[in-house]
Amino acid sequence: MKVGIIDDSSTLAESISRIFDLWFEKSGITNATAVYSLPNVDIEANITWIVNEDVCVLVLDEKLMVGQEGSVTYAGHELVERIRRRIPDMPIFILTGFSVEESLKNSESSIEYILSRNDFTDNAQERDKWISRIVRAGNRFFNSRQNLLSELTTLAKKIAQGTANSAESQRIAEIREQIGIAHWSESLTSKYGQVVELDELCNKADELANQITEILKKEGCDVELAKD
Amino acid sequence: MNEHFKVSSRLILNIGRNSIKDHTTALLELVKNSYDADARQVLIEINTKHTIPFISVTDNGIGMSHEDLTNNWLYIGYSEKRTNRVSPGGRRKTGEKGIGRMSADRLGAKLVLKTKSAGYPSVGVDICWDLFDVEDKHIENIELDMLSGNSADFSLLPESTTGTNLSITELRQTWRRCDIEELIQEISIFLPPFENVQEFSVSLKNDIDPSLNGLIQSPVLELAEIDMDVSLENGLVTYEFEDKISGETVKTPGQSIDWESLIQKVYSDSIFEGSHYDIDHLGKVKLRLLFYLRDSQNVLDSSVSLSDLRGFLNLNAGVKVYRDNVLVKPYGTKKPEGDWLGLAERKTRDPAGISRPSWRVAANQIVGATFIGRDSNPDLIDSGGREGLLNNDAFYALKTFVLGALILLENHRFERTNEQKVTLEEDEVDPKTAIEVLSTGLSSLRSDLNKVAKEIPRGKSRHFDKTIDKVAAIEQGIKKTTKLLEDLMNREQVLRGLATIGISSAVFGHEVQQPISEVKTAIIATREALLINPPKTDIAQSEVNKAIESATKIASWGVFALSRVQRDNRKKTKLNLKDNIEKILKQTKPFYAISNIEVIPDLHDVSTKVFALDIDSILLNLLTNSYHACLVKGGKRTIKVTLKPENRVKKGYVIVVSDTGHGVDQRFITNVWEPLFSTKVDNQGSKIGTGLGLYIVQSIVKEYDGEKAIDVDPELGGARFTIWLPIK
Repeated sequence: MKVGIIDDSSTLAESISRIFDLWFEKSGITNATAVYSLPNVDIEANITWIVNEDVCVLVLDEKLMVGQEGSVTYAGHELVERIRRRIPDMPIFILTGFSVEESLKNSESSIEYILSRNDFTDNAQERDKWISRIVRAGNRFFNSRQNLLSELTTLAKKIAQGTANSAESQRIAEIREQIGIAHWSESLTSKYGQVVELDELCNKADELANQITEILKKEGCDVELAKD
Repeated sequence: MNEHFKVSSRLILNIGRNSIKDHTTALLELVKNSYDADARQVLIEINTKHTIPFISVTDNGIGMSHEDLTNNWLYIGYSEKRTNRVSPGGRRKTGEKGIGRMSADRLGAKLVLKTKSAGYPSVGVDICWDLFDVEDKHIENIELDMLSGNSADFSLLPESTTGTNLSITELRQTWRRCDIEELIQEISIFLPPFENVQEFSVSLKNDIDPSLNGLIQSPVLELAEIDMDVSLENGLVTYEFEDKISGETVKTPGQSIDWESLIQKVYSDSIFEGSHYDIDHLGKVKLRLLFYLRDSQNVLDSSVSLSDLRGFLNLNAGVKVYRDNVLVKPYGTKKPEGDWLGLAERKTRDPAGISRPSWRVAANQIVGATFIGRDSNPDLIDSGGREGLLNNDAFYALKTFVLGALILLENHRFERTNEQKVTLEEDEVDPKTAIEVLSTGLSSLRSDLNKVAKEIPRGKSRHFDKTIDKVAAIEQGIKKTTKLLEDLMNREQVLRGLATIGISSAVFGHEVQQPISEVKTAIIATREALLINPPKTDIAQSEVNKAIESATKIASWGVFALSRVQRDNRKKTKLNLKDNIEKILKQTKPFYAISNIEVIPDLHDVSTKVFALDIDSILLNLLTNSYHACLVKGGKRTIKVTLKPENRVKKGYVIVVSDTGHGVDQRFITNVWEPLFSTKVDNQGSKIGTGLGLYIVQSIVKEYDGEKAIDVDPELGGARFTIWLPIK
């Protein structure tokens, strides 16, 4: 289970991730860790990072000004909206500077929790509470993903064996949508389509080669066209 | 036998001498008689240097026949005016008491009257008033010399066939220049200044001050800034304006307001003396109001000097009442009771300046004439004494009408002035210069006055000395004002500097939030790393180092804020500006780094005598401005700061700050320098910004006689602020 941290201060992000790691160690949790990143200038690239890293819970700074290779113009809650389009059930925790900013209050995106930095830094008990909540949320997400993946594996086997019914095909589509994976059969179909086209082209090439050989023969040339 | 009263010859003299105030009034009475005689012109001659000094009054009125002369003019107390109220020419006659003719006695001991009426030969009478000044003689027993034939001939006025001439000799009083002036003024204010002046004109010929000769008229009437025509009839007030507020004559077409609404403008509760009066009973009243600004604007394109205008206004300002085109004293005159509308008190109660909505005209800014008539307004009646109207309900209604019209005029001016709102920024004279000009003017005035004082004979210079003392007192006042002004300007400078510190500290202080979080979080990580078993000292060490680094950023903000308030900043010293600017950039660098803003300096040596606080203020305000601009835009964030010598009208230098922001919207290019104007918004579009930074910059630039400009930086694409200042 990974805790993902996006913050425009790498100093801060590193410190927070270390706090998480130390907490995991202190609590005897061995299968969890924290990872961090600066916000990406390309908003979508952040989602790629989340997916690639298998982040299960996101801790996000509301004020994001500085990113990799430059400054970003979107705020935390705007990034959340984008993430929701791809991963609707990702648990997200937003950190704010002072009190909750107006912009955040008015945002329509569903954010699990909004906490101020002071909640995190000023009181050890508060911090413990928050870390627990974050880890729990991450675990919930992780477990649900694991369940979906094993279900997917079972269903995929059935499709490969040709024993899946329509309900089960439907279910695969649902899971696919939930976890954002394209249907394997679609990719196959498109590749198959490409093979058929290639076949037809080869046939046409053969025909042409035969026609050319005939013409040459008539002219008195005796050649054999190599067919590759 | 029936007895009858006998009249002493002296009596007629007493009547005349007691009721005519002075020789000016006496001459005015004779002019009035000419008016009543339908004269179109009157010529007054005052000749004191002739072998036989004389005053003559000649008119081209209807004149008198022998019968008119003997039966009417010689009939003391007879007033034709009581039977014939209107002259043949349609003029409502002036007086009723029939003793105006006695004013000749006031002027001189001898009177020769000659008159010519249409269809009759000239006739005349030769009177020596002193003959009447004897004891024990009945008036009937004093014989008068009648004139006829050639002895009654006299020069009629040009193009006239009728008229009367009075020739007065053995003058009883010397005529001085001031008397001539007073005469002219009396006559000019006697005549209604507005209507039909051509119908009745008075010319003067005198040898005391020939420069005053000619047609008596007031040339200043066209110089009014606002000319308002109002009339009241049947409970409805209609009015129109012609004004020159914008420099060109603008006519505002006729508007109207009903009587009830007008009352409310004057009295908020509509209650006043006379409020029960039925306004329809008043009859038709007309009013003309002329408003003057008592400054040079008024006389710009005319031959009238400002002092002439002021002189005329000093004498003639006030709202007069003319009944049948003849002045009703004391309304609108210089006597205390002349301010019948209470304009002075009204102004004192609310002395708001002319640009404020509650502004009121001052008593010396309005020349007004209310036109009423005996027939058209019968409810307005003479009071018991010779002057004024009875203070009845009708009179109060009249007063309300005039006050209401004044309020309409004041409102009109306020509205029109707001339409014409002209920014005087470039034309504004700075207070220091204005005071210098005033001081110089006053001191030269005082020396002129002193010169003149020497010419005045001893003992007579009392009033003059008072004037000189007054001027000296004003000069003292000016000195004190100058000191106050200097103090104010110093205070403004300090406040400006403090405001800049406040603004920049707030802006950069905001940035310090992040390092504070960093320090706190790093310390927590350190602690956790040390508390765990076994402790992770390498993590602890790394986190401690980060904490120190972040703490340094916080400290640098403290250094920045404190150094701004150093005492040396507030002294005018010769500085190498390059050093100053470098210092500021160094101090603010950490804040820009937090937001990933690169600051590129391009600084050259510039030495000048200046207040360091002022330069700091300019630079910091421009920097915080650019800082905000950069935040709103993504991508590469850069601020460029340039300092280099540049000579314009004088030797000088420029400070240029440009950024990679969005630039300044063309629409706001002039507004950005105004106080409290801010276009700053944050990422989410909410307004931030104090609106003071650029206002501070422009006020410093103005004080140094510098120049300011905004355009687009060709390289960075955002706003480029260029400030040029002269080298001192």
